Amino acid sequence: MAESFINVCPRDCFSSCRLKTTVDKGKIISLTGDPKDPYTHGALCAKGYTYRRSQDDPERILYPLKQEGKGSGRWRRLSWDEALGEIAERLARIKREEKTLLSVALDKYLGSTGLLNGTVDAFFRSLGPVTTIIGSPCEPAGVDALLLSYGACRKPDPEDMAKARLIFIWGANPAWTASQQMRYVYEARSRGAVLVVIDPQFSATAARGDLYVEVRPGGDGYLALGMAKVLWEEGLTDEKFLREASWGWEAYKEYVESLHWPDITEESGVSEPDIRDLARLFAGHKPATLWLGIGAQHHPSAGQSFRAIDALAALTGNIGIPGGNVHYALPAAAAEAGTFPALVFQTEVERGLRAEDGKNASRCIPTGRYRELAELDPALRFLWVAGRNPVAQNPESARVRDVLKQMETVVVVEQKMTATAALADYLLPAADFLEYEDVIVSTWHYGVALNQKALEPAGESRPDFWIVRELARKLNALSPGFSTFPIDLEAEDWLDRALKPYYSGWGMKHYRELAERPARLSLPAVPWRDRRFLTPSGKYEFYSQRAERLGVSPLPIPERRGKRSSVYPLQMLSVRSFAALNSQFGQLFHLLTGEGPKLLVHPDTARAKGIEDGGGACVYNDLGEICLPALYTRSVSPDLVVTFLGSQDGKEKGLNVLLNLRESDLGVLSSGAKGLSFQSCYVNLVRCVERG
Amino acid sequence: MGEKTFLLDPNLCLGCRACQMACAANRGLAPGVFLRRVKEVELRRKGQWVKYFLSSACHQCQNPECVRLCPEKALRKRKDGIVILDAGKCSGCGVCLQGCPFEAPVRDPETGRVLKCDFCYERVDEGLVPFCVEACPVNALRLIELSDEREENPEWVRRLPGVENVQLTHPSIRYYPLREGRQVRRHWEARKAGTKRGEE
Repeated sequence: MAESFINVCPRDCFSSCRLKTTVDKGKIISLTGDPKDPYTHGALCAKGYTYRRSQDDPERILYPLKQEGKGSGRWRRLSWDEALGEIAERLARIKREEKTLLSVALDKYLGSTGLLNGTVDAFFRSLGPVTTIIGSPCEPAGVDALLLSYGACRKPDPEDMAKARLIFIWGANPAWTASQQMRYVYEARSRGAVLVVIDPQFSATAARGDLYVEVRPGGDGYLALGMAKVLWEEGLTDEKFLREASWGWEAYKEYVESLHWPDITEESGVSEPDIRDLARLFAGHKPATLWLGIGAQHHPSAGQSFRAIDALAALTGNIGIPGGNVHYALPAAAAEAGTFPALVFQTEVERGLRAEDGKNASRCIPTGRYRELAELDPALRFLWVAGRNPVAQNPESARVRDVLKQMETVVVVEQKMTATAALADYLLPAADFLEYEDVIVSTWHYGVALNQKALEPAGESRPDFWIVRELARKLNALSPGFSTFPIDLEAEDWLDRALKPYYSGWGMKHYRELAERPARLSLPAVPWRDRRFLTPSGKYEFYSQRAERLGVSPLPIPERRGKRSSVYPLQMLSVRSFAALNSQFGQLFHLLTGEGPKLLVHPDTARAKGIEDGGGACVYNDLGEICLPALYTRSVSPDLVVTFLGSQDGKEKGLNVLLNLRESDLGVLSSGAKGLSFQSCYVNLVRCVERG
Repeated sequence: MGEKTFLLDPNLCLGCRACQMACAANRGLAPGVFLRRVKEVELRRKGQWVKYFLSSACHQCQNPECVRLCPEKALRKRKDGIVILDAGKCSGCGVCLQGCPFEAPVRDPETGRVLKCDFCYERVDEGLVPFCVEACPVNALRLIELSDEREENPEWVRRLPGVENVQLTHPSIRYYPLREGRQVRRHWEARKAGTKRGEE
């Protein structure tokens, strides 16, 4: 008898789509979007439809494995009892020898966004002070920008975008990365709204815009400064908003008036007349909304640039009105709805992490700085990686590999043999989201959705929650009190505790009612209606003393770009395709297109190097080289090359062998660590003889 | 009853490939086999390089070459226009694969027989829409009925720019004409200089 289940895609994505999975005799017979999903209306992306086939995936790791010689590929199957027993012994030995567990580190991120994954953090905190990798490679510089300007992270409901008369999509490619949102963009457009896309590459979204403006990568801030200059020059600002609800606008005005057009054009790549047109367009349509992309803040001066872009909404009084405001993915905004559920897990077992005297505190390493893991005192001996693939995703892939190779013990919890998993000592098979119950909260539409258990775990794979609980059991058997993780709590208990504060608001008695009734965190559809901001001045701050304390100018002044290297004259942007999410879904691009990933290159650039359309291009810099087939396209300018994230995972040479560690200016305020500048990748090309 | 066909609006299509994958996954096709594909078309138009995405499957031609060529008479065109394949009759000879100007039929690597898009006619017969249409997040792809040609929406066109114009078999596909936005590009001159004759 076939049975239907509600599932939720747990990937780190805007849409957090509800799925309807029908299972007969343990096999999926149908998987579609859930038509009851109030945000997606039942439309999934290409990646989502692949879940229909997930049971046939030959790449799934089915048993705990131990590698005899790191990187050797000689894997031996273990029972869970053996694997967790050996891991527990190693942890106990470290504690015995080091008298501290600071030699133990956790690197966990959002491979799955289910709330239950918070129990992995909880487990590590239950051990006392350890080393944790903090921060986010994703959105933190942009979040800090909002925090400085507004004092808190708030955004409108995504559906509110449909009410805009003008939509600026700035550095995002939702056609491929958040296709469901395009429904609301088109809805606005069918009512006469104008769609403007600002991007360094002519993306799929840009190709559908009424106006596409090609900005120099990283020049976004100067484009916004130029627009601000025009707004003031031509009397297009909302004086009432400025006088009543903003702080420091006079200083900002003085600054932008002092800017010279040649500098603005040089930095932004856009001419004065075009910037004038853009500013007039922006001021001429109210409400106007700005959608800021994550990719636009992966550069060294991202936070300041985002403050300059945010300022456009303030200058034109587009804050606090329906159809206006800034849209940006904000996990932090969920905190406004009450206790963010994930935090409940952390406080539950927190022990000493924030010890006041610092003696008993955990050690925090900012994300991306993997090389530091090899230089710590006391030295790191044990690393646990979950929901993350640092070899593929971090800067300096080669260094990340070295660190993993040197580490005494690396445990990776994974579903597939990723580039990181290949360097594990113990590879523990993670269950897929269809195989256990969880709850997922969207960082974009704040939907809270139940993910039911539709299938038995493949092979002996297990959810992360089960793995850490069993490990806690083993540790306490070796040495009572080693971990304070509450072993008696079931997954259901954790979820119930985390979500209980919301039940009355949703009119529910238990989170399982979410299956039939999609819910949302209760946040206002339009933020800042009262125009009372949570900054020190209580106003929207153009001038921020908090910014100054974070080491950047109090006004949103982005750094100018440095002198370009003549040895590596091309900038490489790695962008998301329709077929991958970072290193996840790695093979889908090839499957859908029948071809591997390509290097998107302007014909002039390629021809100058003797590289033919379809021929091999070797991309190199002082860190490494990779070879990709060239694809001639006019979607990228001659000084750029573009490639798609993710599709190279698993091979020896992923994209990030070419990427240096470069941090953004902001990010510390929201995530504890600066963001990462993935755009800072400068390369040269040569014809690849092997390929072409 | 008029003949059914797809109507694609290239001004809405995002190139997201949800249609392609929804079809393959829900029709239970072997990995790498697709009855619908999405092509990115880049072309020069009115002094700008524009692009759009062309999502296409079998065009259910009014004059289907596959039906004419099939030695087993495994293919037929229904009254509602859908060209369906009787898999039981298909010998896998591949004549239709060669004959179709749109490369719409494909070979199933598991059975050796031919597979083709049939508008998910079993779903359509039940009043549902094909998987690809259901999957489109922006309603760029629709299933329509072509009534009398004289009554047809005069806005619709039979072909889009930048792709080969094959009308011999009278493909029943309809499109909205492509519109393009304005572009402000950084390397306008460099791009023009790099354009060779024949690319215009």
